[in-house]
Amino acid sequence: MFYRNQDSRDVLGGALLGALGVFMVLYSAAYLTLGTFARMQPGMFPTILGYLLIGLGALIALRAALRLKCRTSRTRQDAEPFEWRPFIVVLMSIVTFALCITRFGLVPSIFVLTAVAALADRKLGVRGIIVLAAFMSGLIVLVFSYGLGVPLPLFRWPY
Amino acid sequence: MEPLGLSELANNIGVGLSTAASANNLLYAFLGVTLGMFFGALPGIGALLSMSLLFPITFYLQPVEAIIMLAGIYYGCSYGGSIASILLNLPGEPSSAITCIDGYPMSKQGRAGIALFMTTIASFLGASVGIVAMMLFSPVIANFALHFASAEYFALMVMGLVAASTISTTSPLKCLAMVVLGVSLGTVGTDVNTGVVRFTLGMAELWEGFSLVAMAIGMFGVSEVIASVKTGGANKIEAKSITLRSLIPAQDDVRRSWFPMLRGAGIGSFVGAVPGVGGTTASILSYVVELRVAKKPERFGKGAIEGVTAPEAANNAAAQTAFIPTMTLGVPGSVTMALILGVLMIHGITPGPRLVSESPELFWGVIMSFWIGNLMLLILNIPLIGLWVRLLTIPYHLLYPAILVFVSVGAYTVNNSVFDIWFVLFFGALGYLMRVFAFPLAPMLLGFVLGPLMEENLRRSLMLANGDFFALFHRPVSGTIMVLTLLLLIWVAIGMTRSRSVQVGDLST
Repeated sequence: MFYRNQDSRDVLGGALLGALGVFMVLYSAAYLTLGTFARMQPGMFPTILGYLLIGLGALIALRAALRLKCRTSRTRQDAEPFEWRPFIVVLMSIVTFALCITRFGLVPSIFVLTAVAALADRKLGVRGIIVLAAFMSGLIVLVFSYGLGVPLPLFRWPY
Repeated sequence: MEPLGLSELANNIGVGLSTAASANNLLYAFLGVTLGMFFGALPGIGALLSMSLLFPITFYLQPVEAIIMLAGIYYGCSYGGSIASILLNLPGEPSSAITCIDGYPMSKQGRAGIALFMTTIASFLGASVGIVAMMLFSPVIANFALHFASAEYFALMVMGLVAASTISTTSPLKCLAMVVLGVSLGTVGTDVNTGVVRFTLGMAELWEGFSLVAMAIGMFGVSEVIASVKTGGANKIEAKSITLRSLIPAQDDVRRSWFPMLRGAGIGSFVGAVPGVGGTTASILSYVVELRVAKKPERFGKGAIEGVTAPEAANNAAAQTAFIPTMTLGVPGSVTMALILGVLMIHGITPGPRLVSESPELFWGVIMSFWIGNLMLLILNIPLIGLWVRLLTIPYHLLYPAILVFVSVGAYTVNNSVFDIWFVLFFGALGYLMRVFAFPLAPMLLGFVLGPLMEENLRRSLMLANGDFFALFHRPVSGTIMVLTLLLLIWVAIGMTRSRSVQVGDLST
């Protein structure tokens, strides 16, 4: 899916956009009333947008496909690589934060977030994690709890 | 009414000053510009990310305070961004990229302090010219726009979006597609006019639509972090070499810089007010003009002071005049302006000509606080330059967990709900995927902010015209705007039929 060639990616990207456009047109036709130009109902604008997406997506995909065909020399391999490790680690760190915040409170969540996030590039040691997490906790409490008066659960124990 | 209304201007300045000089607003101006300098100086974090990160905080502030702070961050970043350009040959902000060309050579020649000092002066001068332009022309534009009806607003928004897509380095086709995608995402939720729920796929949490905050911090925060984790590296510079004395420029430097700074400020003021172009274009244009005008163009690229001061003046002027269309017409010219528009709308304020006449304390208060903020930046920059320089050495592996903490906590505090964090996650993943597929993120946010307004205006203008779409072209003002938009599209289409290589970049001024 993540071709090394940017043009191949463009073909896929354009196709995905077109598919989204098709979805919008069909959804509007099925669930929403279209109305007329003079009296636009909820379905009209999404339908217009859907057709625009189909058109633009098709244009993008076609141009890329043409570029692929016309290139006589070897294809470029210059597309930005999909960094799996940072992708998964960063998203997981946020997931763990979301799971912890209501159960354990803010401060433990920040520690867990920092710990998981540090796995992305392994430059931060255990001591660094603790110091950074403590610093961030302090900063957040200062800014949000004291500065803005936002109700934040600092520590909790659900059991 | 007299063309420039000078007595009325004096009145407005008075109102504005009394608002801007209140203790709270001074505090938020100070916070804004300091944070802006801070984030602008840090490599890898720009105005967009910093404004997004602090977006949740602005919910707890009064509208004036929120705007003052966000705006302070925005133009503060322009000041800070040039530091990394000069010292590291790495732009801290996209609009500071041009400053690298002559700034870094100056730094290698041991004249870094002078470069830093002169860019501060140039930035202040540029911003001042921009603010004056704003003060003089906003009332005129707002007056003119008072006669606008929905057709004109719709046309303006379409033109703004098309302009933003076509006048950039990224493939215009992809930008336009992203704009449409953004507008489409804006349709998710409850339709204001009929109460009908659209595209929510059964999720009650989507009844109010996607949250702008979640989108902004997800797309510009999380996805940026994912992309930068591998490449962000620690930067080593000799912070000791920047002393106060080294800042003082030679008389020759000052003499050479006057006209370039003024020219740059003029160019920047004009360019910044046009939707779709911003600080980056302004600084490039200004550099090119200086090259043409210079008696000895060979000096450029090797440490010519004009190559640093003119673009910086242009850049900062553009940052100020970008507010003109946003505040007077309600049409943001760039993503950062779209965020400011978003903040205003979340606080229940609709920017536009009525804002200028009905809420002068807000409008003029914000303008006056621009003066105050820029003055603060002048003071912050000169004595504290060593501090900002030291900031550049903060390694990215410390920064990015901090960013993630801010993102997560910020998302949670918006509604005290964990669901918002899931939204941020979604947009973070989506944003990264879009990057990998080389689709620009900024136009999508622009479309998202303007989408609901566009639909509303289109609906109303069509209703008034009885379904006749071409009525948009018959009215003088909206007709002119639509024709201009069509010309832009045609120009782009012609450009596309000639073979062009697709550049992967971001529309981010």
